[in-house]
Amino acid sequence: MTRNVKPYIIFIFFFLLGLSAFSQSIFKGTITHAYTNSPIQHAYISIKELNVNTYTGTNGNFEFKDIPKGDYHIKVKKIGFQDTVFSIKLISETYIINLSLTPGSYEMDSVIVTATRNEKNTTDLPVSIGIINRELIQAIPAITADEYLVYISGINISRHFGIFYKTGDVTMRGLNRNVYTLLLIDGIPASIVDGGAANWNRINPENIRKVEVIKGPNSSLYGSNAMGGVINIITKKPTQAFKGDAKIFYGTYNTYGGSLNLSGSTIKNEKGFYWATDGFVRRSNGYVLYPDSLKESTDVATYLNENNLTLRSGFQFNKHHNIEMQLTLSDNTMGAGRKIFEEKGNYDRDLFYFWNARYNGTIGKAKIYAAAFYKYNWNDAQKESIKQNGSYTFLNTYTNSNDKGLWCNVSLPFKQNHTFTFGLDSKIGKTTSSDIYRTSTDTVTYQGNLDYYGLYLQDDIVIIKNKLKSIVGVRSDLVNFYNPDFYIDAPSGITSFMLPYLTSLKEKNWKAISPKAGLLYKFNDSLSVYLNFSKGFRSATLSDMCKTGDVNKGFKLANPDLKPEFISNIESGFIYKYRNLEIESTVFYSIGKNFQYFVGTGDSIYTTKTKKQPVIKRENISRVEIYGAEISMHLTINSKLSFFANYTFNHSQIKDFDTTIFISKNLTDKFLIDVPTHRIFSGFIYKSNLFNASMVHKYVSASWADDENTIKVKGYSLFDAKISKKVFSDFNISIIAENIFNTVYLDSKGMLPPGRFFLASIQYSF
Amino acid sequence: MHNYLNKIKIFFLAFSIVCFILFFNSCLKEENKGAAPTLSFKIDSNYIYEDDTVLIGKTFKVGINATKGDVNITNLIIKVSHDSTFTYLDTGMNTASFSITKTIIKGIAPKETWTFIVRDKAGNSQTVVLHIYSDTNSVYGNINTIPSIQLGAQNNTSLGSFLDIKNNKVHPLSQAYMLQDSIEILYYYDAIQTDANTIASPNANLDPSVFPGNEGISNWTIKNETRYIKTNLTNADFENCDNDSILIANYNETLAKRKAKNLTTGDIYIFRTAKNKLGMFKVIQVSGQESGFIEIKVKIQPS
Repeated sequence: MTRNVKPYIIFIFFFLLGLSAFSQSIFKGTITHAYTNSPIQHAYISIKELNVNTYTGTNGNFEFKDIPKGDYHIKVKKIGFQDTVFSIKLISETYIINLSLTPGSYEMDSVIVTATRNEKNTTDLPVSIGIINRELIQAIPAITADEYLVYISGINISRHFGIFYKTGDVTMRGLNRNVYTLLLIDGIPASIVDGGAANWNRINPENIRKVEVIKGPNSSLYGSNAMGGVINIITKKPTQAFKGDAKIFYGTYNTYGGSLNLSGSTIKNEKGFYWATDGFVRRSNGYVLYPDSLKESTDVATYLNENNLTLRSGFQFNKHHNIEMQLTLSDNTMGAGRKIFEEKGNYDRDLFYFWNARYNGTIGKAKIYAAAFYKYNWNDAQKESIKQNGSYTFLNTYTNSNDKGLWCNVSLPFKQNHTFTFGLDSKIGKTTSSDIYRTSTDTVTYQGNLDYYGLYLQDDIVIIKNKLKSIVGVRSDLVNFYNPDFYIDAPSGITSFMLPYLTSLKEKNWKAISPKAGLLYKFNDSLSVYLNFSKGFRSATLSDMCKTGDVNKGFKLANPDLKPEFISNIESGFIYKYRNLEIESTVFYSIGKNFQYFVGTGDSIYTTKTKKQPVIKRENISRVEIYGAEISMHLTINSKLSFFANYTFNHSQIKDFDTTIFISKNLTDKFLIDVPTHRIFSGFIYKSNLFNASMVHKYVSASWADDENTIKVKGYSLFDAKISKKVFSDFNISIIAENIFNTVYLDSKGMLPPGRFFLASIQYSF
Repeated sequence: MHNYLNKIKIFFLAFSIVCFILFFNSCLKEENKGAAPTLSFKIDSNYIYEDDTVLIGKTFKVGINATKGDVNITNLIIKVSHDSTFTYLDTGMNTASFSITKTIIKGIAPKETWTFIVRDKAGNSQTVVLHIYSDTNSVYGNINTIPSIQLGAQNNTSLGSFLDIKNNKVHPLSQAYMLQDSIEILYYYDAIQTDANTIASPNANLDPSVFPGNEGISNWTIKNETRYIKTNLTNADFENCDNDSILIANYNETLAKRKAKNLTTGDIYIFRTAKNKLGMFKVIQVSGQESGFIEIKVKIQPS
């Protein structure tokens, strides 16, 4: 009997073994980004019933082996994306899924384009970045597009008058003028060639999909104006056959208006047509800018009248080629808070037309981006004043600018370790500005052309895979200033005093070389550190080179010899991500050269019969030293609650101000004006089925209001909040409260902010 | 309930679209120049309103009436041409209509062309012209001489600052306040705008801190204006002058100012008072600052 049992046991063993093999399955798949189709690494996948989990690899793949056939609940999680839960029924040997994750949490997106003009993972870049995605825009209590930037460290948003601020003022990295921040919309410069400051009021936050911020000089890729950093606003791309959002709102100071966004897409199998329209209007009676102690009889409430429309259409040829065209029309008028005789009082009206066409494509291994654009900007600034001697002056300043440009960028991988990015940018701009006096015969005109040409090359190098990366690049820019002119028609006593100061204007050109080098080391998926050196520059404006006339500080002479400003920056930082916590920190040191400042010539002049003013000129002073530190943190406590905070320290000081060259007070060791030493922004975001809520605290420390550092503007602390609720499935009601505790603080000119400001809105989505 | 919600949704959407179109429609409208303002001379027995002949040194009145076209009038310019063209007045305003009267002293030029221009906000203009000829029967008039007038600066406690030139009386601030219509000349030391020793008049836009208080000039209801023009006349020219020819020949309203500033010994100024009397003064001595004084010699057309 015993001799016959052994083979049977062996047979049964193998039979059962074979049987078990037939009962196991392989469950595997790929996880990709819903918008960009790029693979998502380190996404967490778990099988609830079996209590097993795994992570996707660098190619977004995952695999579970030896899974018994049956029904299972699968959960997929990744920081920065919406959790996804679904069910599967394993009946075959292999079960394969391809899943897209939609960015849905408030933390950073994993992909950024602006840093290298090419899509990169945020953890693979030796540079300080910040991202605000759509979910954050919907959650943060803010009204204008720039106010959302409180989420990112290193950015100073100066919107002292709230929505009544003409353009918004965004500065970065210890610099004190908004012309040092380059604003892009879908990769195209938003500002005009002359001046460089962008108008944030033209941007409708409802149309923003994502904001990408690169901190520090980035002229190696973007040329002039990218001295403090680059902000790229990426607009929404239609994905549904038809979608719409209609919103109306009402708030303090009789502020009312609405927006209407319509879009549609016929894209199927990565081919098709899409379109979108986005309109936004706002009106408000405004408020009086001056406190009662300083108010004059001619001070009235500011007002605003804003109208903005964007039309977009695009065609997706296939997975590899896409073209898009966009037209933006904007007509915004803002009262300046003074009225003497004219019905509209003093105001600033800005008419802006912006057309662009963009191509994105892949040919072989090369990724190509090409864009053409045309901008027309017409500005009418009306000003009435009564001088000390009782004389009345009324003038309109008409400024007419038009820019056109071509941008082309190619990204090409080379061997396994290199990705070359190279391109050519050109911007051709002309500005004409006339002060037309209504109360005399004078017309004062200046004009000029500014052309920019830039050529750049960058290499993104993988030195050690998944460990050590480097980016090196350089850009050469040529700036051409020509056709300058400044003249006065029919001068009377109002402007005839200027005639002896008119000098011949010369054509000029400048070159700028902007290098960049950065090194990134990844300890692991959670921690990376970087070191970065970069240079930036900004050319002079037509106004400073051509126009002579009154400014707040005195009587300004044109300076056609004005040179570009330069900044060199070195910084180091780290990014740490662990589970639901993200921390990012940077320290930096910059030296600015040829910074432009108003300095006295030693002369003074009577600009009216009684008013004597110093004669000043914008000159390139010597050296400015800037150093600082930034740290930001985001913590997702649970699926409903998250908390963020950031702190910025800036020290910005003038060095080597040579008084033997400039007849002016010695500004050596004086601090740059309007740069607060400390800024702290913090807040929480709560999201539930019942309602959503958020609160932001802003602290800005004191700053200097004058070049000689004798007047200090006090620091202030503000609280903003937002609460919203979905009703009837398609409606969303929200209330935003800015400056909840009605903190009173004055700006450097002694003017008031709007105080506590409420805005209630109803939105219908269909 | 479902139908009701759908109706609300449709209404909301339609309302938003209509509002949006209406709001956005209120955009840029091109500014037309429109109709020009109208301008005419005031016709009255005491006024000159067509080409005329006037005795040298005599005053005459010209009045103009202006009414806007489509937009308000913002600029009035008065020019006078004889050897050269001078701007007599160039002032800003913002009004639908106005009338002004100017009292002008006939100069020595055989022919003066007075051009009156009004301009409006849109850049339209209207012009009227008057030619005034010198009467060949003109004779120069007598002048009175006042050998010495002493005026104290604003803090001088022994000398008044305010001059009633017609009656050759000097008054302190408190008395001058009661005699506003008589005060045509005053003296002060200006440290604010660094004009130093200055002869002016109540309507010269002095800083209120110079003569402060309830009786200060800023509270006067009648502020006469005298205008001054610095000359290159010599001391001999001044002393030898025995009629008003030199005054008429050298006074130019378009160049005259409301203040004679930074006065030093020997300066000679010609002036026209609010009562349209031409005169001139020579600085004999000037001393001190806010508590100082000035001594002048005056020759003036009789009242």
